[in-house]
Amino acid sequence: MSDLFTSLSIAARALAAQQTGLDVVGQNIANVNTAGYARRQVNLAAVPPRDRFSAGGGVEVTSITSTRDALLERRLRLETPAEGREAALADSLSVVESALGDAGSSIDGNLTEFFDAWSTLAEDPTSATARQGVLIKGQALARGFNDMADGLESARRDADGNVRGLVDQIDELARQIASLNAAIGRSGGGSMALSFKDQQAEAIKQLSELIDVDAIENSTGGVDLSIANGRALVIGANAYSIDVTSDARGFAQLSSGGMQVTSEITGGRLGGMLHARDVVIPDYQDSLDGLAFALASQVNTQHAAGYDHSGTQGGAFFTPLASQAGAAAALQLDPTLAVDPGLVAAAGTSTGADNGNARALAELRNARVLDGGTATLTDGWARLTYRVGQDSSTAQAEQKNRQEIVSQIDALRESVSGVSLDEEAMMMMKFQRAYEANARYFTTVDTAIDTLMQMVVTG
Amino acid sequence: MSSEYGRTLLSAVTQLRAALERAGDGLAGARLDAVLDSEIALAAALAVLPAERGNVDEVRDQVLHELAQARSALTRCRRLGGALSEMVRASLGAQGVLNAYGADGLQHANDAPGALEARG
Repeated sequence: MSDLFTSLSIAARALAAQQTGLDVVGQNIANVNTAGYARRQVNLAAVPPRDRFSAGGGVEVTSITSTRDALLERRLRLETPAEGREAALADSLSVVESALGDAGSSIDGNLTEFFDAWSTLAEDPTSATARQGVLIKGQALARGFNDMADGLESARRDADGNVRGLVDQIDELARQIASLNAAIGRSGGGSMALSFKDQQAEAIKQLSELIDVDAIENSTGGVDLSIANGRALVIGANAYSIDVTSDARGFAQLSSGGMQVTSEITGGRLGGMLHARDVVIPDYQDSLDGLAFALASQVNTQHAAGYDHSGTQGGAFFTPLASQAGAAAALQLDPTLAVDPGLVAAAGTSTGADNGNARALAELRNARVLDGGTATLTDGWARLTYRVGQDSSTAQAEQKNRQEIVSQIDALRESVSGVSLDEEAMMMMKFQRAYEANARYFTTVDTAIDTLMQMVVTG
Repeated sequence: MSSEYGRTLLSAVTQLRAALERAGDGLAGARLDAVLDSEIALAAALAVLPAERGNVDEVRDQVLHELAQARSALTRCRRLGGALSEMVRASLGAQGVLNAYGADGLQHANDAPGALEARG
């Protein structure tokens, strides 16, 4: 009787184990599109025999584990913030690009029309209409610089607004991860813990898109997170928020645990937005200010060297600027000149009737007054727009590359999953060898491209 | 004759760019067959590149465009390949079999004394 009972127990245990297996398979299929879900596997073990005359106690489920690959996840956590950073940078630069306007109808167009107006005045230096034309185009040029300065400042403020929004999202995700840590700790392992870990993995992935985080598994099975130079973001069930204060200009400054971390955050969308706000856009603003300052200085100097309609020595054409900083926003026509076209110093002599100074002012369009005497004012504008375009396309290309690496890791995981460890290792090695076989040609290809470029450009 | 040279060069550079893009696609999608095939395509593309100068006036812009695209495709291959190598090294290292496979992809069990079955 006991033998029959034992046999039935073994069969029942085996059925229960297989049922669990089927449940897990069902769970895996049902969650195939669930973000953050890691496939479950049932771990079975033989039940040892009770005595030396028994064949064994059948089979039982010892645990259900998830097939989360820590290495791949770590790699994803490294790539995701880099992708987020480039995406944010590309977003911010696209705003700057549209602020710069189209070629020929922006500052470059204003410059051309301004110098054309001086050429027109040189053809008829006593014409009141031509004098008025110079003032109108001068005003339009100054307004063009003012609007552009506003556009760049506004792009910087947009980036700042995004920084504040991103910090809120980061804090929210940190709180979520901390509370999942608490739930994992309370669950004491098992299926519930796996489910919490899936949710946590997804939250960490979302967080990685926003900021670069370091993750370390803690003793309760949860994850501790740090940002910047090791500042705590989540320790166990506690989340540490990033504090935001405003500096003198109203820009958000970030701190963690009382320490300033703004310059330490380099990855994720937050890192990209901070880089755009604090480095890239200010650099463009400097260039624009340099251009406005050079324009005002050159035109004022030349204008003061001429004589107005009544033969009086010319004054300033633009209101003199004290320094380069803020020059584009401050550029404006001298208020006295703006209301009296007769004060336009078109003449080169005190007769006030010749066109000497108007010609000299028109010639400023060809003067190399920027970048150590290598560029005209129009060249300076072209260099700025080219730089913005290049920076923007580089950020977009970088984002695409990073995205591709992230999807490559996923694809690699797909292609090697579900096989034995030996097969997985062999498959990985085959990929490596196949890549190396291609890479042998890369140096030759590189050299060939260089040589051909040279040949085609010079030939 | 000069335009014939230009057309040949353009075709060869286009072939090189296409081979690099295929290699990049294979690496991005972790498709082993595609990566293996692209080795042959790369070798073939390099073999037909002209070594001597010629007149390319008619197709200069197109050739320069293809060369720029080829350079960008090469950078992509290198980055994806770098990420792949790093992943493979890390994975094999974690399994204790970093040096356990030869160039033939076959296992050399004795080379992996520290191999440890650590996965449940």
